[in-house]
Amino acid sequence: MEEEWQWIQQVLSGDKQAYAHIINKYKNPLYATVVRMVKNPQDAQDLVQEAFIKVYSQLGKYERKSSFSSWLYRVAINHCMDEFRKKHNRLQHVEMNEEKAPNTEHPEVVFLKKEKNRQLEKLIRTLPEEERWIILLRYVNELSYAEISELTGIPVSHVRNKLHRAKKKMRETVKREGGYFDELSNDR
Amino acid sequence: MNCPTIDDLSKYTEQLLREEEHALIQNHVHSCEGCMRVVDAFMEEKRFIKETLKTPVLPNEFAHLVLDQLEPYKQPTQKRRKVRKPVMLSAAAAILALGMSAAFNPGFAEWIGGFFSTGEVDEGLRLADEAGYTEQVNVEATDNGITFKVAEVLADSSRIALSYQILKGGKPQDTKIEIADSKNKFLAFDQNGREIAEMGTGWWEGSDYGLIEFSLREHGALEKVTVKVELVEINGKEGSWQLEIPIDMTAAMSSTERISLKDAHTDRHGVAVTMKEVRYAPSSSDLLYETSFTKEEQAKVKEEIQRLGQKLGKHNVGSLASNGTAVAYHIENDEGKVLYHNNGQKYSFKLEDSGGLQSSGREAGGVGHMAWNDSFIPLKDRQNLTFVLDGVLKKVPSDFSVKVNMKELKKNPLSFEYEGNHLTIKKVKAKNDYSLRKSVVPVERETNLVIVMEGGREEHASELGSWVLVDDKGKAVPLFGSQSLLNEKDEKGRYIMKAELRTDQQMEDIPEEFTLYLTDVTRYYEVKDKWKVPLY
Repeated sequence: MEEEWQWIQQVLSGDKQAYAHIINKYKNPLYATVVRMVKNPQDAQDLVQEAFIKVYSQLGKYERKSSFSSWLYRVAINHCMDEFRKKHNRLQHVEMNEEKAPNTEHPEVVFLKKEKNRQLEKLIRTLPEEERWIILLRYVNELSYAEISELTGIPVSHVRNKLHRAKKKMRETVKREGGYFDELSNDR
Repeated sequence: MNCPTIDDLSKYTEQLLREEEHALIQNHVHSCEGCMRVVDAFMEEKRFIKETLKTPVLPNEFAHLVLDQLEPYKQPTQKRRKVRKPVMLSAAAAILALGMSAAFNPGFAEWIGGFFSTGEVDEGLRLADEAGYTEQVNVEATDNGITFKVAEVLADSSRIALSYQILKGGKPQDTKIEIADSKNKFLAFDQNGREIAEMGTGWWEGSDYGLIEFSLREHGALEKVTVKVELVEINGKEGSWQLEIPIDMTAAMSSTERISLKDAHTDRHGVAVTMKEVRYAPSSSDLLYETSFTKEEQAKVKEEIQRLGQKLGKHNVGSLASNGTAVAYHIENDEGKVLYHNNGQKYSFKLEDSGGLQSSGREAGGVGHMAWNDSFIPLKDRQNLTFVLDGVLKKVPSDFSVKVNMKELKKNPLSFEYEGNHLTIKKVKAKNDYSLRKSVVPVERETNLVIVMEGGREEHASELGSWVLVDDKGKAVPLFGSQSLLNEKDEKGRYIMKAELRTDQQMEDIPEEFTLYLTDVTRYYEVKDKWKVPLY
């Protein structure tokens, strides 16, 4: 995007503050993905911070041969993947705090949503690492199957299969265990 | 067509099917109520997953946490740059740098007569407020139940400051406005429609008021300024808050006394100092002066840059051509009492203890030529002030180098001393990292060399600049990274220094032996026979 290219040029000509635009645009999707891989909010925040520092240091090397978002995710998520693998054994599992949602709906609706959110988080956690990455990169970072394939090194046909398998698995778990989420998984 | 399986319908919603299969199912779904219901459910499931997984989010201040750890990219010459460690007016929340302290009681400002009369703003604004330069404007815009209100405007020839509040149901809310995100804007234009870009904002946790400030120090005579507020998000809520505040600058401009310093000039240790002007405005006293190399020194520096360029590669010594001179001075009154001081050194320059408000320098053309604008808190009563030159600083090419032998380094860390800097190379390691020089995907890994140094710096020691590594085959590679100086002393009374330097080019292996060349150094020279310039 032209706007992003302008920000990059501003940063490269010494305007460090212009980098805030880039951070603000990508920080939340990046964090939302990383926090579900490391499962510890503080570790996730630290990793995302490091990732943005890395992206900043590499910014001069972006040549517009791919979209900036895919380039940025490549640098940032690769960094997080590496660190995640390194730290995997020592990271502690911490339950994520529930976000405060603006309470504008009927209390019962809010409660049902909370239950469903919790159930979805649990389902995501039970997925194997590879499938979890794919679900997150697809839904949170909105990458194409080809971009996910480039990023993870998994062939694109496998990415498609794994995404399908992951969702099927989630639906089956819900069906087996029941819960609020299963209203969407009723088979015919 | 028979109804597709649930699996196929799921793949259809995820666009996982081949084009022709997708088209077939699409046709079927449009004519089959049962399949349509399943697809709708899957779409709803997808929307729910997306929505849920996009939280949690990072706090608003996250961008600042990252930015605080970054050094700006080096600018090409001739562009405006800020050299010392002043309030950076172009940066969000920069005014915070001047240290606002205690939380602010709700309603307190109204009780005592306005935000600018409180200790929450810098002393310059407070004095200008006391002298009657504040105007209550109380203009506001409301959307989505949130009101953005500009309460007061304080304008003089050095700056325009606006206090604002964010109100919900009449109650003050957190005043932080995210402006790093370009959608929220505070803009100012002069009478000819030219933008006044030097803007900063300040907010304090627990305070009912926030501050917007435009610096006018680099602008000439102004008749009228229009401040425009264009906000689209406040405290996470979207909306539209727009205000336009015209400010008549006639009285503000006439309140400033400008005294020409008639190009008073001296040369010390190869640095030429030319005094330009002093301005006494109600909220700030500004001193304008220029520093440059003397002709002889400039010729010497250019020659050394050339020599170093031949040795290490021109592109590796490019930064030497930018900036390069500064001064250390104090300002005293007739009784010899020091009222302001500026020691000119990046690292130990404590603006808040010096009576200073901001200091900025821009390259004025030619190697080492800088135009400075230093602002100080104005005095309550006019006194005859005198500028006293304490020392000069110059950034010059260095001839220092240190040879590193990896075998020996593994046995013992390598220590060296250079002009008051005592450093030890603790570690040299190869770091395998992603290379984005070839940004076409897939990105390849490359090995960079990381050099970790620690040590201490004496009070007036020279400031070390950039480094270049030359390997055992004679290949020169510039080093990047951070060199930091802590405001903390070690047991020998030296300021603690840390540096982590890395090559920015592929290094196959760690060379058995290599040499680190320091390309530049900023030296301080005390001026013993004080040079004085009256500022009245």
